[in-house]
Formats: sequence, structure tokens, C-alpha cells
Amino acid sequence: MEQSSATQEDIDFRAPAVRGLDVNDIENIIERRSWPRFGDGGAPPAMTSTEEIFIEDTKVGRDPWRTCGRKGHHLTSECRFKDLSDSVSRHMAGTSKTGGYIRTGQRYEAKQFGRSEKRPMGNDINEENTVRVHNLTDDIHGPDLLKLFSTIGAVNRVHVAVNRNTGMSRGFGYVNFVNMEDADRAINELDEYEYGDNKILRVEWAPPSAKAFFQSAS
Amino acid sequence: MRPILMKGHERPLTFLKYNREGDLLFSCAKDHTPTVWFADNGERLGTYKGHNGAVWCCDVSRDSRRLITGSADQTAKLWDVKSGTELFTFKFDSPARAVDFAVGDKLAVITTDPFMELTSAIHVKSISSDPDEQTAESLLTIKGPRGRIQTAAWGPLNKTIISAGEDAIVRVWDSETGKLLIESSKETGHQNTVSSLFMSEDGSHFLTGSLDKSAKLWDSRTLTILKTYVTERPVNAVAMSPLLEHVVIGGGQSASEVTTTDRRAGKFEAKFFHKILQEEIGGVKGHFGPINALAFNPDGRSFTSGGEDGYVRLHHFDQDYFNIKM
Repeated sequence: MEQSSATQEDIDFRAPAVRGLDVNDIENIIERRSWPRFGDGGAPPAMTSTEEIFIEDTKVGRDPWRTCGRKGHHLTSECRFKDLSDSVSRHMAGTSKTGGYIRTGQRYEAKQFGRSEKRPMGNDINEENTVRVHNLTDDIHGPDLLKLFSTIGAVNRVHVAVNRNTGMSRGFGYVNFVNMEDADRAINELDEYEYGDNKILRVEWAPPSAKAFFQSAS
Repeated sequence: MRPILMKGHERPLTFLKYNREGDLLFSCAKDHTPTVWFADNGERLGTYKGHNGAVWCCDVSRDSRRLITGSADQTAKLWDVKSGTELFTFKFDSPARAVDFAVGDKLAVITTDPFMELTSAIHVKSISSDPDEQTAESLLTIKGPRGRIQTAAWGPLNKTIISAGEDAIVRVWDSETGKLLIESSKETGHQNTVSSLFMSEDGSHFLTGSLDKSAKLWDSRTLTILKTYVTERPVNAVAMSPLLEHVVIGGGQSASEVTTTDRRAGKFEAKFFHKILQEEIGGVKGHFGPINALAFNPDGRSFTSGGEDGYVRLHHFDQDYFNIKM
């Protein structure tokens, strides 16, 4: 017991640096507080920000989570896909290969329509089968929506609105189904579905103006 | 946290410095008047009028009585902190860039830019406690590095002077003889202009920020690279927390690209990294342009950033900041 305390004292426990202020420092500070203002001093040019600023998590390039393939580590109980039906989970498992470069021809849109098939142009889209999805978190992009809505039925096109300046999602998008019934089912099943960071997905019939989005995207 | 916005400068900020006790904050900007603020509430104590060009750098003596500033008007000036009166002017033939008081405040290092056919130089001046006895004589002038010397600082015990600049090489000079002792290698060191340097409190290590989008932590004596912090944007300013193992790195795209990019895409944020783990902790946003200057309050409980937008933002940390676990 005594030996161990002796070795403790042998270790150099130097204070990393002298911190804090002594009495003289405090007196100096108080004195400086009452110094007369000079030059342009005195006028109150300072104001407190009305905006609350946080230290934001800005990490980039985090590894995808192994179960659902989404970016960012989270517990399975917090996984946004945990409540999806089995068919969805299976679908997710089948396509969970994320990351890596995908050749242009093999990206999700091309896969969907195959090369031999005629790819529907903006004009061919039956816009009546389109649903509008909003309340998306900004890390959800087209492929994510496609994955989710493909579990309902065949999807023609997916478009997530992005801010042209920043490239960030504006939080809503459109999904165009091949069949009207699937679109109807999507509204029934995925409206108020919890998707993303505790956000409740809203799915509704798209206004006719949605067609413009697909045209601009095509 | 709700930062305090200090609007006093009309041009981009260039440098920020706290005094030792952390109650005064000195700011330099491209307008010609360095300014001193109370660091708790952001009230302006005064301005130092007399320079006729952008002020690039400043340093304050340990007793908070003297201020030295380096300016593009080819002078470095000594000021009385309390009254704002100009005590002495060092005249050069090219713009003064970096200034730093040595430990003890008896010496100061001033660097000058290359100009016309002059090369850049590091000058060591003796500082008298009585301003009437002050002379302009240089104790030592070091020439050699090509390109602008962006930053210079005294090494441990005033035995060395550490300089870095446009040629991306960090150099350690003997402060008595002016001999080059060590220089960083081109391969492992920075790849682009070193924009800022921050010496640790005890002088054992220092942090440099570079336009090669990284910041590096160096051993002051051996000049070995201890850590590297990588960001996505050129680094203009660096600082180290005196309290926690945190470093903060500020930067942004170059000023000429700012007008063509959206504010939210510009990454104009101060980024916090864990000093040892080199892991990013988070970012503090707010400036409308790149961050040019950063300073930590010596008590480690607040920090300030100065931006291209002319604002100084004073952030008092919330309790959350001290609870961050890595």
C-alpha cells in the first residue's frame, strides 16, 4: 500500500499550465472596465444575434449503417426502416449495396426502364398517377424515395426538388407510378409514415403543376 | 448559443487577439483602424487611429499596456492600449505583415512583404518600456525565404522564431544569430500558402492553417508533424482551446468566388476538431463570408471569429459544449 503511494509521487503530475486569474489580474480587469472610451469607442455597435447558433454536426462521409444501408450510425431501434413491412425489408436488403460508382447506364432510372424499352419522356408521363411527398429530411434523394415507393408498385419516375444554388434537398418530391392504383395505395400506406430523422412523411395527390418538375428533370 | 455581433469594421477582418486576462479583444481589419472591445459584452472600448492602410496583425503585451500593429502602409506602430495614442512608428520599405511580442515584451518580431525588388524579411526589434527611448533599430534582420511571410511567432524561451508563408514551408530560425535551424519538408508539410499560425500557451507546439485545406499541429523544437486536420475549404485561421483538447479552424472559399455561390453552400463555418483524435466535432455557422480570423478566450469559455463580412462574432459557449463526448 505504501509502496504504491510512493510510485504515485514519482510520476510527474505537472499542471499543464497556470490557468485562471490572480487577485491582481481581477483588479486590473475591474480598472480597465472603467477606462474612458476613446476614438470611436462607447457607441454600442454590438448586438446579440437573434438566431440561436448550435455547434452543428458537420461530419461527412460517414459509413453506411450495416442493416439498412443508410448513412450515419444509429441504433436499430432508431432505424427509420425498422417498421417497414417484411416485403420492404427484403427489398431493402436486396438493394442495400450503397456507395461506389454506378455507371450511368446502370443507375436507378436506367435500370427501371432498361435500355431496350422506350424510356418515357416527360411528355409521356401520366401525371395523374403522381403523388407529392413532403416533409423529407434533406439527406433523402431520388434513389431513397425510389427504394421506398418501389415496395408499393412499379414506379415510373422519382424527383426530389433541390435548391439550384446549394444542391440541397428542398424537402419535397414527386413520385410517378405506372398504375393509378399503386399511387392510391402509396397515399394510404405511406402517408404519416415515419421516415428519416423522426419526420412524418406526408404523401398526397400531386397538383397538376408537378408535371413541370419532371420535365425540368428529364 | 446566441453570438454577439460586433459591427465596427467596414472592411474584412484580418486578425483577432485577446489580452492575457481575456477581458479585452483586439481586432484588425482592412479598414485602417484596429479596435479594442470588451470581451464579455462586445462593447467597443476604443479605436487606434493613425494607420493609413490595411492592418494585418497585432499583438498585445502581457500587462495589456502596449499594442503593436503591422500594416500595409509600410509601418508597424506601438500604441498605448488605454488611451489609443500612438507611441512609436517603425517605418519599413514594404508592407508589414506579422507582428509578435516575445515573452517578456522586450523584443518584437515584425515581418515585411516582398515589394518592388525587396525580398521579404523578418525584423527583430527591441521594445523599451519607456516609449521615449524607443529606437527603430533592428537587432536582427533575416532574409531568405521567397514569397510573402504570412506569419511569425516566437518559439519557446524566445530562442527561436518560427515563420511560415507563401512558399508553404515552416522555418525555425535562431533568434540571436538569424541562422536557419530547421525547415519543414515539402513532401510531408503543407502544399500551399500557410495562412495562419497559433502557438500553444506553453510554446511546446503550434498549429498552422494552410490554403491546401488542412491544418497541422507541429512540435516547436523538432518541427515534427504531430497531427493533421483536413477540411474541405482553404484554411484562413486557426486557434486552439486553452481549456479542452479542441482546435478550431476557420476558412472558406477565396473572396473572389463568394459572390457566385450561395451562402449555405460556401461552408463559411468555424470547424471544431478534437486535437488528439483529429476527429471533427462540429461547425459553427453564421458569417456571410469566409472566416479570416479566430481567437479563443484564454479561459476557454468563449471564442470569436472575424469574417470577410466585417463582423466579429463573439460566441459564449453553452453548457452543451463542455459536455461533448468523443
